Amino acid sequence: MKNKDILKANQSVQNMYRRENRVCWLLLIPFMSLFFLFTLLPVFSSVVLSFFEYDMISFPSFTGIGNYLRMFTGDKVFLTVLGNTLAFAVVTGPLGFIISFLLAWFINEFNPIARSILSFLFYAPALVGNAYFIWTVAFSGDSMGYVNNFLISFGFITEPIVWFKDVRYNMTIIMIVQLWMSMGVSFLSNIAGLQNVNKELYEAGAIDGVRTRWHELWYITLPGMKNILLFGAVMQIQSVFSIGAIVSQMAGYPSINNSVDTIVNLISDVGTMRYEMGYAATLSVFLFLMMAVFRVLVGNLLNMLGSDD
Amino acid sequence: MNRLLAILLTIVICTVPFGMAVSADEVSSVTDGQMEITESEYSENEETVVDEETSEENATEDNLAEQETEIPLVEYNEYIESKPQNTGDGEIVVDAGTSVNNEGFTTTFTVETEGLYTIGMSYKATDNKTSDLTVGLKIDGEYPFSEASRFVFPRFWTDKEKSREDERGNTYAPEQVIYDNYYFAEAFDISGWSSSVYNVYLTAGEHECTVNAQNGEFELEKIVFGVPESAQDYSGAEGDEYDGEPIVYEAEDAFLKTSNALAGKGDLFSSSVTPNNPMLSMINYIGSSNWKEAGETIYWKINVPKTAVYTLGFSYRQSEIINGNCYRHLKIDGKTPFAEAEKVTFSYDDSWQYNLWSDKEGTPYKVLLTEGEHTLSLTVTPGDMTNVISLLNGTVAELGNLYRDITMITGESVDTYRDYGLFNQIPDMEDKLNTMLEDLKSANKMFEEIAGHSSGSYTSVINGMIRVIEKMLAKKYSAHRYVSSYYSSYSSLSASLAEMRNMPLDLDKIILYSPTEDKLLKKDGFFGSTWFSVIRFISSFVTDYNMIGSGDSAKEKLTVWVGWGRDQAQIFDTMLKTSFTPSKNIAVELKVVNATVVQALLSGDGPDCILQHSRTEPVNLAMRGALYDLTQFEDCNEVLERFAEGADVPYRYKGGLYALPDTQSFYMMFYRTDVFEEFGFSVPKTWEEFEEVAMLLIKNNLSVSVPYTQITDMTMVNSGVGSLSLFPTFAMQNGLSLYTEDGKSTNLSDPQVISSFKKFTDFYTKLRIPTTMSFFNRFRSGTAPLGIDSYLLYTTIEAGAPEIDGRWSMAQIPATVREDGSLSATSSAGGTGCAILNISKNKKAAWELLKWWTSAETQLAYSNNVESVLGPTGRISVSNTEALFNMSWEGDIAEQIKAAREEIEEVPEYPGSYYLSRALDHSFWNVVNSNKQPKDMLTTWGKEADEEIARKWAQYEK
Repeated sequence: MKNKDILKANQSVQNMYRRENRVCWLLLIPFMSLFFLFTLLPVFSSVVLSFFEYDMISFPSFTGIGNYLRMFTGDKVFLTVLGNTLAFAVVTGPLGFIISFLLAWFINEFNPIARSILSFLFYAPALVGNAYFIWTVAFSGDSMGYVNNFLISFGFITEPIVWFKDVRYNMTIIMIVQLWMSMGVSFLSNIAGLQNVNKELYEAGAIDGVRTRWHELWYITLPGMKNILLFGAVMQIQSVFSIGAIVSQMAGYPSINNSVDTIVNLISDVGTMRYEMGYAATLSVFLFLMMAVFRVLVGNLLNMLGSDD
Repeated sequence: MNRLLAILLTIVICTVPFGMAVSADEVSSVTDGQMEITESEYSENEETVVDEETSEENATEDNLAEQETEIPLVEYNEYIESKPQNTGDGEIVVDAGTSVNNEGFTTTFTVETEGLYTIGMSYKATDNKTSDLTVGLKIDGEYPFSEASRFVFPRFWTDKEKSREDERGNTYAPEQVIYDNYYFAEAFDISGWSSSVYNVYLTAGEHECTVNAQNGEFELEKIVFGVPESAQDYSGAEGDEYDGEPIVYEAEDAFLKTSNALAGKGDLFSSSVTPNNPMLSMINYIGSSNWKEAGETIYWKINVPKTAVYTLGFSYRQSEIINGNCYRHLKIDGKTPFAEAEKVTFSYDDSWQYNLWSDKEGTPYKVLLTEGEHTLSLTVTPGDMTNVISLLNGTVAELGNLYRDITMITGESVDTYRDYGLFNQIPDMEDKLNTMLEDLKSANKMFEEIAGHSSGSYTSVINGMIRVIEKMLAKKYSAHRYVSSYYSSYSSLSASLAEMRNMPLDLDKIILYSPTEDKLLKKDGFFGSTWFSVIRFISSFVTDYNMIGSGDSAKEKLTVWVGWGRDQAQIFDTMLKTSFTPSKNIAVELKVVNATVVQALLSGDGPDCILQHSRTEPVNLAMRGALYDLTQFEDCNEVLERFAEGADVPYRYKGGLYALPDTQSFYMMFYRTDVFEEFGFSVPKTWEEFEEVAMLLIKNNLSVSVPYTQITDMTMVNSGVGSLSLFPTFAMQNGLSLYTEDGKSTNLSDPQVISSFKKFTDFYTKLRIPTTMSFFNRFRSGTAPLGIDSYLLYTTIEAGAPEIDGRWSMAQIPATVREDGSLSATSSAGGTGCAILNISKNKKAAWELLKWWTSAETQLAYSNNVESVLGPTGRISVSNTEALFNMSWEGDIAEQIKAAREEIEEVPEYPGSYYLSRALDHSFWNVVNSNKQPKDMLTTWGKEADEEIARKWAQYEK
């Protein structure tokens, strides 16, 4: 917007900017070409592929909307998996988001040294990547697993529970692990965002009648870091909808009765095990659209921050 | 209910501390009540047990009668104690000059002086096996002691030529061939914790001796009953002292070795090893993990320039036994020069060392050598470790027994708040613990004396065990709280006991010095070795290490993909270069690839062959036209005869054969003979008997293992349904098949299939056998004295649990009694296959490679090599029948393996068959965890599988 005003005002400056723009484009080329090659192109090609049947060896054959029909009407597993994905997203998404913000808020109150140490501690699980493996030790199905051993020694159970093979427990456990892992990028960005809120606003707020920290949070802090929150929300949506590795590593694939498998698991199963690339592409297109819808919903929700309604 | 009771009791115990005795009584009364219930539940079954027991008694009596014709043999230790200790006089040489196979060869000889003699043979192996010869020796028609029925005589291997060189000057290990001449060896105890030759007591007069080969065939030149050697202590050497330059013999140029894995090796990264060249890859030392087990010997021919007194030096690296020593028995011309040579010590350092062979004070030993050629040999021996190992061996066995006794009282999961009164229940527990404590402490002291310091990996393990025992002794009433740490300390102690026998050593040079020489050869200094590394680093940019040794002159080139670890790939690469490429003139580029072949096919740039590919993949790829049909080769059927019958079934698709099996494993039953004896069980032959034994064991708080592989990741189903659980075995024993004949749908809704599934899940639902357990560990401690597992576990137990040697065995899995009364002990199997890709331009060469790879020699050599590097878990479940039988199985076990091998039945693979494994897994967990009906589950999930399979067929039938 700003640029345009100036451009209207001064033709010569416009020329200068054009030249500068050219340099910008030049600098963008390395990134854009990679981005196009490895992100955009695959997205488009998967949209195209979703209308084909393709086993990676023989040539693709056109099936029209056959794959989409199969997804909604012919695949029982898909419906189960969709439910699981939504359950994970709805529970761990907002919860993880809120927890990571609240933690960031608390940690922000400490002095800088304690703050860095604490933020490192909370960020560590996400940093290490496959750290969730320690949970498989804790919830090992053997009577020597930590949780089983604890429960047995205190007399709550008499026989070890095979946690990940029991529909009663596996979903909950994986949600806990996912929450534990969710102190990721959004947590770090929240800490950064909190420090970028204009300090003067707090003073002004105090004069204008902000009485409690909750007031402060709702009317000043949150609106002040709306953009950061939106960024965090996008990351969170992306991460909760693509939960998959954790599930297959902990509960195995297929999990018992497909009770915790997610769309991502199904995609990699269809693609790499059954070599049905067309159908896998269809599923990922669906996942992509679902994420996009959620992104719009969350964006609207965040816009309501700081309002009095 | 139980939970409530437990909580209530806890409250009672906590609130009424003075009423301890009362509440304890309550506990026992409650448990008694439970026991009664369980007993009455089983009472029906018990009656049948009684009935069958009586019939069995008759059967065992018959067996006994048969066995009584054979006189039980005494063990060597007893034998030698019962004989006078006077040694014989004068070697007795019995000429033979005949070929010996398992029928044996008998001759007579005369003894002049009564006494003890060693047993030696001059022989050469005449078959093309690689395992050691097992030889039985009867004197006057009887084995003098039990070990005499299976003396181990090594095969002698030698380099085919001096180390080979490629065009660029890289050297690589020469091929190992059987030494084509008679060589002499003595019967030697290879059990690993004693280091002695066997003696036999011969009375004066004429005797008859019979030599038979239990394993292998050899030509016997003569038998020699020698005078037991009693080497004198070192007392210096008299004669002129040598005063020339040091004489160096490169250790890798060995004359003979007792294993074909003992080929030269190359250390590229040290300038202290000779020969070396920073630009090239050189063979420059010998030994390492291939030279670690007692009895393994390397012989060198050394040419001594003049008769004089020398000192002996070694350039070696002993980096494996941290803060410990490695021992070798040195012989010159087959004689031990003096007692100290029986344990030449090689101390620890993480890099190469140049040391003189000297006593503890550092005075070098002097040896008188005459001019001319001599044979010098170094044999692996436990040396000073002998006593420690034999002491610990006994202690660890005792620890295991005690753990079992404890488990029989407490069960697998100990209730911390219950008073078990372990010290009252197990009468001599305190004495036992005290003896073990003392033994462990003295073992630690021995270690300290040997190594010179108190820190070391072994001592810390022992200390851990000591601490646990001390705690148990100190707090007798809460001793049960330490049971789990007792168990973990015991496990690691037992594991390190298995490690202790290993004495790996890298040897670079043997050097003869002048005793007056004060300038010893030294390893490269800091600057020298840094410079070497710099050059090595720079040259790494221009050297293609893949091409080393593969030879530019080879006609054809192949690319092979394997999904192995680096160690296996390296071993295989060496084998390719030393054996395959030279003989077939085909160069092979080996790539370790973790991707699936499909991606490669997609890019159009794939390998020619894939090896050890998972079970379901060949058919998966074949139906998409990616693999080459092997039946198009003329000698395909001939090659198939190498494998078990039907081993090719999973790799067939529409009549074509798309892979050769290269590994195949099947189920065997493992049982602890000592526990079986204690309870008076006989080895179960049918599932009914198995169940009875299992029930009684479980009643005594012990457990049984029936394997169930959890599908923990996506690729697991790739290993095929036959290796995931025992269910396919059950079904096939009942003569059922999991698929319909045409493979277009599953057979899961068949009532008979359902009933065998129910029988299978009953193990987990009725007998409450845990679905996950570490069977090896529990078997070792005896808390799971019976179980079924892949036959490969045999090696693991044999090598990993030395303390239970001779107290366990392996047998064929139990059989199902079919309706017509016949027994079927069919076992399903798992394994991998090797295939040729359709895009390969060199299919003939690729076929040559597959034939070479599945041949008995290659499979055996590969398995042995991997085993020697990675330990017993590295053993490959070879698919080649000959290779399997050539592995070292002890007498009875070999029969069981053979019998089981004949009963293998493979489950075929069809498009979409991965869904069968999944359907079974879903059904299994639903039945076991959620008490669902097997029938409902199998029908529901079977239908799902049918749909997927039908869809897959439809896709490729167009």
